[in-house]
Amino acid sequence: MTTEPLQDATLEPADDAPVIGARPAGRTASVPTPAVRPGAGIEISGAMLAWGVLGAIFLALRLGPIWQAPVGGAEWIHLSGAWEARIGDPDGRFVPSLFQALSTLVLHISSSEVGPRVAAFLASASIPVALWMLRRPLGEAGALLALLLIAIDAPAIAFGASASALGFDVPIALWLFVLVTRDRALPPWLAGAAAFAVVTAGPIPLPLTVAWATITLARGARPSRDAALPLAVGAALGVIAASFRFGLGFDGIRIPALDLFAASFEQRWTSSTAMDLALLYSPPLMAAAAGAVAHAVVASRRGDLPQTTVLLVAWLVFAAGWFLASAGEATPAPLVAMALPAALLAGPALVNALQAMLRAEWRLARWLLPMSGLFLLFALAIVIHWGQVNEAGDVQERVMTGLLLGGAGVAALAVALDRRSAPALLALGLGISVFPVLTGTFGVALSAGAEPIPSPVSPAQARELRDLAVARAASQGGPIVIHPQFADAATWPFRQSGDLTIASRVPQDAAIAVWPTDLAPPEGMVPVTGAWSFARHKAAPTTGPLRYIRWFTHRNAAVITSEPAGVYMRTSK
Amino acid sequence: MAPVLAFWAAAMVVGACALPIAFVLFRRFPDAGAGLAFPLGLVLSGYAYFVLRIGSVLPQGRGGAVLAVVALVVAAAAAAGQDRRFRETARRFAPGALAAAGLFTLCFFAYVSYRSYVPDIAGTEQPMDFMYLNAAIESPTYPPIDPWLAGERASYYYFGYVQSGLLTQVAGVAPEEGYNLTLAYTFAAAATSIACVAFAVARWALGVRLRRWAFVAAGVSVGFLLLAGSLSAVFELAAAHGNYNRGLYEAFGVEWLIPCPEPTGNVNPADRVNCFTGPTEPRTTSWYPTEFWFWWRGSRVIPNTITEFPFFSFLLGDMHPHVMSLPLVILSLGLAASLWRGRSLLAARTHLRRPGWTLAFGIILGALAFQNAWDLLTFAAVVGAAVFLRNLRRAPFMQAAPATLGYLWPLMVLAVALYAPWYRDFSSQASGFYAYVGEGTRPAHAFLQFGPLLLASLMACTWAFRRAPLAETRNALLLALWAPLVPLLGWMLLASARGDFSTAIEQRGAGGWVTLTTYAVAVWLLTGAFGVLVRGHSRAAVAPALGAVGALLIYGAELFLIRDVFFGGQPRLNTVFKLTYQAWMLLSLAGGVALAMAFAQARARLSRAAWLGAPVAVLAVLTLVYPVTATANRVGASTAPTTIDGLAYVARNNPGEYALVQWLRTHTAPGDVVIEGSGRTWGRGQDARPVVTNAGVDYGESGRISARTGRATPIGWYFHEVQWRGQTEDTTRELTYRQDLVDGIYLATDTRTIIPSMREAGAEYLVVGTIENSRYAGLMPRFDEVLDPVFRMENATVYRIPVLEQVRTE
Repeated sequence: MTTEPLQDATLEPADDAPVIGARPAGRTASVPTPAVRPGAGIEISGAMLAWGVLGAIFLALRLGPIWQAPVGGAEWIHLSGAWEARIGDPDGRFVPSLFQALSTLVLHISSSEVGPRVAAFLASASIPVALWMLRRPLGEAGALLALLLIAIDAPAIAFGASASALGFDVPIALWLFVLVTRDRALPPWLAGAAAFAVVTAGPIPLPLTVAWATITLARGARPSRDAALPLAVGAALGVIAASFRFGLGFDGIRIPALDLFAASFEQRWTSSTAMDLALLYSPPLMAAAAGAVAHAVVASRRGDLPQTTVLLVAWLVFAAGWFLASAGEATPAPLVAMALPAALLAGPALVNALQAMLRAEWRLARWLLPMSGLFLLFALAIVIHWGQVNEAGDVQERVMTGLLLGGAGVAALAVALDRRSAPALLALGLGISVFPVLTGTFGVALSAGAEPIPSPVSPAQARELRDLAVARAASQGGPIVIHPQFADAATWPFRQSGDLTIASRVPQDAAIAVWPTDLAPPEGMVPVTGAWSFARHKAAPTTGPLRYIRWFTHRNAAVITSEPAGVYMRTSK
Repeated sequence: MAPVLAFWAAAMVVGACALPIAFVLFRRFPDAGAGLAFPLGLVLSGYAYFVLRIGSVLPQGRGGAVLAVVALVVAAAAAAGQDRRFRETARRFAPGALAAAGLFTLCFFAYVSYRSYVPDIAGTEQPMDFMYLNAAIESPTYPPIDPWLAGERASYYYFGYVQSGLLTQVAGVAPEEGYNLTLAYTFAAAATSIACVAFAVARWALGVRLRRWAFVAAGVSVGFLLLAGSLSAVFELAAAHGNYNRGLYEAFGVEWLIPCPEPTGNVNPADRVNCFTGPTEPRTTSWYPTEFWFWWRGSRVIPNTITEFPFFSFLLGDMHPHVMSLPLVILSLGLAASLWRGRSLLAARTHLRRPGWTLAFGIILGALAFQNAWDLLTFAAVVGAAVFLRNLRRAPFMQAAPATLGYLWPLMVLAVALYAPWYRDFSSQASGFYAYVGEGTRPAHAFLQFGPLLLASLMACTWAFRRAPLAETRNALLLALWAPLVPLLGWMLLASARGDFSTAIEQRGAGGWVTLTTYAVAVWLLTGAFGVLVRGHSRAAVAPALGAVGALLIYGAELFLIRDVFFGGQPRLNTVFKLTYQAWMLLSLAGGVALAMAFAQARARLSRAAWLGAPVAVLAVLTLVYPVTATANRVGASTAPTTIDGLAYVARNNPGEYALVQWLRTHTAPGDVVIEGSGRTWGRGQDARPVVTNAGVDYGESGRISARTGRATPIGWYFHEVQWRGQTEDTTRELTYRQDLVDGIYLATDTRTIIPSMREAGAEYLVVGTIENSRYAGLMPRFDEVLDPVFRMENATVYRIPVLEQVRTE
């Protein structure tokens, strides 16, 4: 096996691929191909190796949560909905997206959440392929870095192997981007399938769809009848399929993408707000995307902005609009929607920035940047101590910290002010970013108990409670009674438990009752010892910077609260 | 502050999104319609929200509202794509757009500052407005439900609430904040809209040399519309400081400010009717009148009518349709001006060439009825006249007339068809068109109320008549005589047909005839001025035209009335109210432009008559006495901490009830029905049985829970439901039945009847709070026996019908 240096690949984004309906560009970018020497056997280029490694990382990071992650957040709601649909009683939690329909089908085979999660994982597995196909518009290295950024984005990992109704959203969004940046018209079947997929997906592809429509319309391009017809047919079929809930019965006109977009504002898909999660997981990616957008704006003034970049910026703008509108809502979906265009923009931009960094004048930077980093580390050490005692230090410590931060700032500023040295600052930025990003990445990928996503979660204890209740009801007779307050939370853990009675007053013949602890215990019943709970919330440590620092250095310091439930059994029949 | 900024940002985004469409529709405006983009964006996205909710395409909640704005973005992109000059227009008119944004921001925050002193959603009809806002936001289906009549759809012109709900949801603020912020939005959007139209009309009229006066026109128009008030405030101010001259006050018809004679044995009670019965000296403790709500009298200057004007509306804070429609109406006037300024002949085939325009026009014109039904006829007629006059410039009458009809009828059909779902549920209060038979308006009252605006509008005559040949002026004035004569003849015919003619002549009184004649002369002069300018193909014709329509509305309100539920007691109350409110808008626009034109002439020494503008300007300044003193009065009386939360007073004064409202919002579904007290007060009769001691329910706290949560209740404000649904036997029977059903639950002697009665009402929840504890004091059953208390705090409790259901899990 031989490898080629990464520089052989096209590092500059050859970004001239037009969107659907626009005239194909005249020039083509140089797409690197694996160097094959006659008689030398199979040679693997550096690029191929990089694709393989990053693809493996991408998949590996999503593999763990399939078995490890507790059912939580949007997944909990939607799995409950899918289960209700599976037993023939679909309720409001069943939003008929294509993934929900598939989940329902898979739950016929196995009642575990693993089946639907595997389906989501398999769809996610196509993402490296989609990125690979974007080598031309993004550049090989740009596409690779974009894949890396998506691979390690914690919210994207949480969605990548999650059985929420949005299970197919991320791959659909990326494949849609691949399709609209193709330089050839789509075959009718593919256009129809794309429209069907978008309509029956969740909301994450919506910003791209709107961005594409807006740009196409703003350019005055009207799709020809040949192009529009398959799109219309595909979309109509999607609406029909969803309205008939993929065979479960007619439910009025339903467009899952819009329904789930609205649900992202109404339902509780996380315990923290979108803004809190963004502060925890996304600042480095967003900073990189902001830099890329700034670069694009400068390029647009020179008039050499590729169409793909325009589309990416528009995509990011619409996704950011969604994020801003839902900043205070309990949903991580807009973060993922933002992460995709952010990564696709930041990937190629980082390649350019890295090249500039390597070309930079390091004579000044080689001293000042480590000094700046060292000052930062010292300052961080003090602040971490403050975080652990949850109190800022005395004046002396504060002055010291201020001086250290000031020193770090001055050193960085000195580098920034020298035009030739300035690109070297990227090294400092990468150094600062890597730790918070990777801790979040591994926290989510390894389903760490204190990680704020997913949350709220259905604890394993809820299933134990179900086993206890079923056993008791079987041995003693009488119904299992659940207070209406817990009715929704009980759907998933209490699946396959026979008939349940949802009641606000305990019937006389009840065998076991799950009751709020703030209500009087049911008469004639005795409590089952234990701290029972139906839901566990993991709060984001965003109530203050010290709290965040503490959580950052000591993930288990996160505040986890349980919604208590009282469990009562009838003593005798 | 965060809700204020969020709402402001949402309004700016919606306005910015509409810019490409405004550029297409108002290209001939000096700012390319940037100032009109605010109402344009909101009406288009509001319509998208309304129609897509009906089609079940958009779901209920914030997401649906955000998607409606996204639909506007896509429409704007399409408009920009079809507009070859979009980039050039955007670049050229960027300063205009920035100026509009700046004016909007200034006015928005200025009004927010004021409203933060008096944010309470309480009193007058504010609970009703809040109820409709919550209905627009919370309704599980569209067209929205009527929370005060569970199971029925709203029957009112509620489009303003839909738009307000849209902004409230997009901004992510609570409805009680959205209520107050919508008022600020309306104030600011009305300012930018009228500034935009006035600036355009003045620029067209003044030409290049005098164009800087267009800024004056915009400023004066904004001032007239949003700040000017009744001149009665001048007398109020003087009287508050003990300065009143009986003769002068009687001459100006403000006798009510002169202290009544002491109520001794010799005084005839009739002598204490139209005089000041308040406390004797001193009436004020400050530089402004500190008497509670003294400014209310400024909106009731003409007896037995409402003479409300925009500043009063914003001061009071009722979020009524006629207030929320201000920006939309000005948008329609801008549309009329834009259509009039165009060059090509408008005919039926124009719609085929520009289907996008037709759709936008249809949405705007149709919205006039949906937002405030009274506006449709007036402002659709203005748009129609503008089209006709444009066509007359291009073609002779015999060609222009059919072309105009050909252009207008598809537009009108579309304007109605687009809002068909609303028309299906709407029941109009109007039940007849009558000649007004009664006492006419006293000239002094007419002067106090409309004098400054009317005189300012008449200044347009100085421009029209200054250089026109005498013969042309004479011909135009002769022709213009028809303008006041036709309505007068119509009035005579109508009165004669009902056999009231001699009574009508007699009852109007000498003062009434003087007023009528004055209005007629104003209509005549303004129409004549318009005629002269139109014949001369002058672009200055818009100001007198709008002034003539405004004067005609005031004149018409003296002659005719629309019959409604007030017909028996105050027959012309609503007619005068609604028509003069429209006239205020038109005269503000015309007056601002005409006054600026007069100043421009005077400064350029073009006309001596233009110096008549000086005394009119003095009067205009005097109209500011009202806003200054009234604002000081309202703000000065406020002692609570400043906030924009309209329910903060409930949280302060009644925390249990406030928490109950919040609990219902978060723990019940939007379609749930909640029983609350009917509002009737009950006590024990002589036989110890419960009897109604007070049947009045409107304008009070009844219906408060449904108004604050949007959750439906079986019956809210009884008389308002009668107004909205018509005073028929069926309606009153149904409403009374519902009142009895609700009262029967709260007065149940057998608790076993409670759940069946609740099920009959379709309700799952029942509320016991302040109103129930006071209206059914000592008469309520023990609800705990049969219902589950699901929320309890202090004296506020929510009960729910016990849940018992079996669910499958496999």
